[in-house]
Amino acid sequence: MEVLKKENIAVWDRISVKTHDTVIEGILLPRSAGDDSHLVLKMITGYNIGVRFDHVISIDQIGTKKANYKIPEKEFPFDEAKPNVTILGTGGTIASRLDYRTGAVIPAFTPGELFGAVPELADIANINTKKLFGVFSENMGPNQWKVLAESIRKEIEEGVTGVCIGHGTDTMHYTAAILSFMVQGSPVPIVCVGSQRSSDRPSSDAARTLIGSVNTAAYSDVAEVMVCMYGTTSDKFCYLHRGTRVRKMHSSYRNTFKTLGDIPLGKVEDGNFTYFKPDYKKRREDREVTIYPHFEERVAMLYYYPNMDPDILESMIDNGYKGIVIAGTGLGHVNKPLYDPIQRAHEEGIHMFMAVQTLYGYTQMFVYDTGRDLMARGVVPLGNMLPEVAYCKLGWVLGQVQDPEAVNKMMTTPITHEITPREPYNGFVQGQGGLDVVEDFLKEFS
Amino acid sequence: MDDKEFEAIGFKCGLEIHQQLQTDRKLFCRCPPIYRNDPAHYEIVRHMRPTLSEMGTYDGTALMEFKTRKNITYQFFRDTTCSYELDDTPPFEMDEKALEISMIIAKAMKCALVDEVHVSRKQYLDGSIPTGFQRTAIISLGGFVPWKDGRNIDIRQISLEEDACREMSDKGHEIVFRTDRLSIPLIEVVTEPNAKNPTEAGELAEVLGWVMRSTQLVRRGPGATRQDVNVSVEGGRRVEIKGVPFIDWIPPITAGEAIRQHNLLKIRSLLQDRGLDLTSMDIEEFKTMKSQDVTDLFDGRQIEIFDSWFEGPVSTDKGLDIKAVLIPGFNELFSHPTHGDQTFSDEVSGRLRVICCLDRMPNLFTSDDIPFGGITEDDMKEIGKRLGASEDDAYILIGGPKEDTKYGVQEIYIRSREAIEGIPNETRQVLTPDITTFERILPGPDRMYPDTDRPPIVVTKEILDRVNKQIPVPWWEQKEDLLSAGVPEPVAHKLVVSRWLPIHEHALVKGAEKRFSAIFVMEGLKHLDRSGLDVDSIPVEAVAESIAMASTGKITIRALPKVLMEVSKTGRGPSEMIEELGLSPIDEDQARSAIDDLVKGHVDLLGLFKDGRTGPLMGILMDSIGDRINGSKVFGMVQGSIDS
Repeated sequence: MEVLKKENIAVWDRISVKTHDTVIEGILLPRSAGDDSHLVLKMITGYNIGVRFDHVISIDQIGTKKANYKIPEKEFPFDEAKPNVTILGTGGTIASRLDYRTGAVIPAFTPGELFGAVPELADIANINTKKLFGVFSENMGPNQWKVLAESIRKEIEEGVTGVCIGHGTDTMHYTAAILSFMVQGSPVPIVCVGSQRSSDRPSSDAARTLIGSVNTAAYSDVAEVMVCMYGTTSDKFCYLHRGTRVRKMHSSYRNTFKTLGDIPLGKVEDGNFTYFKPDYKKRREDREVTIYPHFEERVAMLYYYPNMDPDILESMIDNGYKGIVIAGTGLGHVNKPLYDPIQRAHEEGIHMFMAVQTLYGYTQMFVYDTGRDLMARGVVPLGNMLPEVAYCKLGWVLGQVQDPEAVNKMMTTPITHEITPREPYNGFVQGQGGLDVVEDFLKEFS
Repeated sequence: MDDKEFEAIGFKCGLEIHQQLQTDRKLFCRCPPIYRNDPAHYEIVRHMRPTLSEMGTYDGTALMEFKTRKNITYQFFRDTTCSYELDDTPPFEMDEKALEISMIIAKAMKCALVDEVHVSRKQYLDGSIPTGFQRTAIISLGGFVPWKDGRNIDIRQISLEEDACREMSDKGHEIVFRTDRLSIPLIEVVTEPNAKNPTEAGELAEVLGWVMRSTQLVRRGPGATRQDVNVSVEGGRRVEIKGVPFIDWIPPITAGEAIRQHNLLKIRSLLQDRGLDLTSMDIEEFKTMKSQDVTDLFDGRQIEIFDSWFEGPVSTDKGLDIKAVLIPGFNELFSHPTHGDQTFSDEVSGRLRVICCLDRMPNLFTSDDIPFGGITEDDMKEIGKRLGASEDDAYILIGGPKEDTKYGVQEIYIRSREAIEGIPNETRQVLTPDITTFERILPGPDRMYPDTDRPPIVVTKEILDRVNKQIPVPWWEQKEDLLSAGVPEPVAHKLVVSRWLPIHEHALVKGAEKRFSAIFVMEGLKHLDRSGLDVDSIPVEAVAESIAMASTGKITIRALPKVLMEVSKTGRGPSEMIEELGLSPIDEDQARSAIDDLVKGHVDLLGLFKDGRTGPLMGILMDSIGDRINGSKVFGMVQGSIDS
């Protein structure tokens, strides 16, 4: 490090480094955090290498090449005959690309930048983009959800044909769920879209998911909150998943999103739609939409595991939580040592609900004694509501009502398919998402 | 042209040798590094999109590959490929063994190892890698291998990278790749352009191959070593010929490329004489390009060269068309020779085939060609008229799917314009031992960027210690050593890179004489292997011990093959087998009494022996005791007893 200071050499300088066995020329790159014993050079061939500082005999500055990275912006063409779609940006892979020099991710989000990267979008719709936040999706939360809901209202009232939400994929299903509750009666499609491979990769899924989601926002007949992501790992089509039944199921696959306990709403391929379910809400011409931007933040989710110590639940009670979703085993169970704190929580007015950590299937709390014991202590089963959806809904409900009876009624009365009356035989198989299985499934609709 | 003439036109050639490494797993996932020839278990389809470079532009190769609009099918095997090959999971830790082997080879080539290994992504949009980029890392810089006449082969750099998929087929817009080869560890050794003529280019490959194989840590067999050659001549530019399959082909292929560059430079000066410059041909928006759909001219007629598309009379309603494009000032240049039997029109044809998927040959017809197969002189005149061609101009006809011919005429225009500059920046593929054809535009450093999926690897002292212990004695030193022990040159030459070299080395440790061991390993073992003994199935130690025993007189040379056969059959040790088969040597007294007994029974043969026909008696004697005492001794004893 001293040698750099001594020679007055800065990042992006073109330098020649002499070590005991070779001389290397290249551009000095910024160092990633956590290592200060090597300098990193980008050589003329484009390769990077690291050189130990204590191997350096001398360094000469040859020139400097300032990093001047900018995504080319081309004016997004406007066509009066085309529908208008707004993309609301929250951050995440879909709306970013790599800075080639540092490897850092930089956002690309003006319409011009999007057009530069995916020119096909201009053939589909007129696109307006609004960057609401620039966060990785794990940093999304109630404050962002409320802003999103309000922004959607504004867009609808201003007359857009559809809304897309560019979102990191990790928590996209939470956002899709909460928006399903916060934004009700939308006349237009609201499409969450992300990408599993950033757009700096030639194999990126970003262009195709964007094209799919903009097509859906512009032309589909479904006026619901949806997630639009790859249906298989091939570059073929996207599935449209209902906001309350979708979940990210793989840490890295392209077709990571699955509809659980049901089949997807449909698929979109090159602007062509196939609807698998007839029960969706249809697109309307009016501009009426109701927003319920409420959320009680003192809500928690408790993922039960064998031998869980009651003190975990005790501390939730002591810390003033108002509602708890338990992700129980099997049909909706926890161990006996938790009975006492559950009883105490119930007595202190904490609202407790049961979802299943199997993700597929319903709570059935009458089958075994345990279930009955838990219900006797105030735990209310939520059917086949997914645990993450239940968390979102409980926060949303408690943001509006506190009376136990009213809370229970709202929680157990489905608003938009978060609890379904029946589970089709392929609602489970499809979710497993094997490659062959996807194709077999699609045969039914061809 | 001979080597001297190539030197006179400034021939220069360097190599990039790709060598697969002998590892237990792939470079970035835990799958086994094996090829599959059974039907694939699953296929997926992907497309590649060009991405913007750091300067906000598209890389030339990237754009070209996108124009091809290929459907890329990848084949998978559930038991030997995984979600890494699918590009559905980020890379796992780099295989340590591969890293070590690459460093051992680098050290053997006297290179300076880097202190920290950074993985970069090198973009490939041809589909050969599902991610669209190859993960590659520099291991070392600046080394050398002694060559001849005091000259060295200079090593520019060595990188460790993942191998690409195997191409199974490529037809029209459909290309199929198999992922079994993807991510097999590979090193790329890049030399300086040390070869001054084609013969030397072949020598470079041979010598470097030798060094790598002498480590005993590289894969062998078809496709395990692949060489790319970079050729240029004075005034030309570096052109890369990919994947020359045999070292023997390197001299003719590099000679062919030098001749091609020489001719392209001639074409350039002809164009300059005609007053053409780059500004006369716009390839940004093709505003200066004159092209026309001339399908109507051939409507209802069968045209031989377009029949592979129309499959009958030409018509305007098949989604196909015939287009013509004017190339101003190029009269008679498309028939100008380049190399082998190729002309400048083949340069254009290669582009149409690769970039525009017009891969049904012949895929073009130029105004230099003599009309045939349904195309008449009147047709050509009419097309020239429509395009407003003058006597100095040339024009080209192509046919096929409308979308492809649209890009086709542009590509013809682009390649023709490049002739004004001279030699295009491209990589070429091998057609025959002396002819190459276009493969892709040569990508620049813009296509390299850092891989952020894994942290850099610090080359620790522990790694260096392990590497240093395994650096082989340089093969040229090993060879020198064998020669000084009296080993014949051809044997020494082959032994230093033989996969059986470890047998020889172990035999020496066990006391074998160097010359004996070397000759037996290269000649004796090879002969036995051909006659059905599976040498590689016997533990190295056991073969080495048997050789050492023969070398030190513990068994006879005649008994050695028998011992090896039995060891191979039973899996038991050589000493045990010698005991069981009664092959331990007998002393002279034992031999003498055995000889006396046998001779008594064959007095007639003794008579023959005395007359000089020694064979019959020796045959009987050797069959009986030859495995336990050397034949020359037996002969001497019989001779001696007759004399006495």
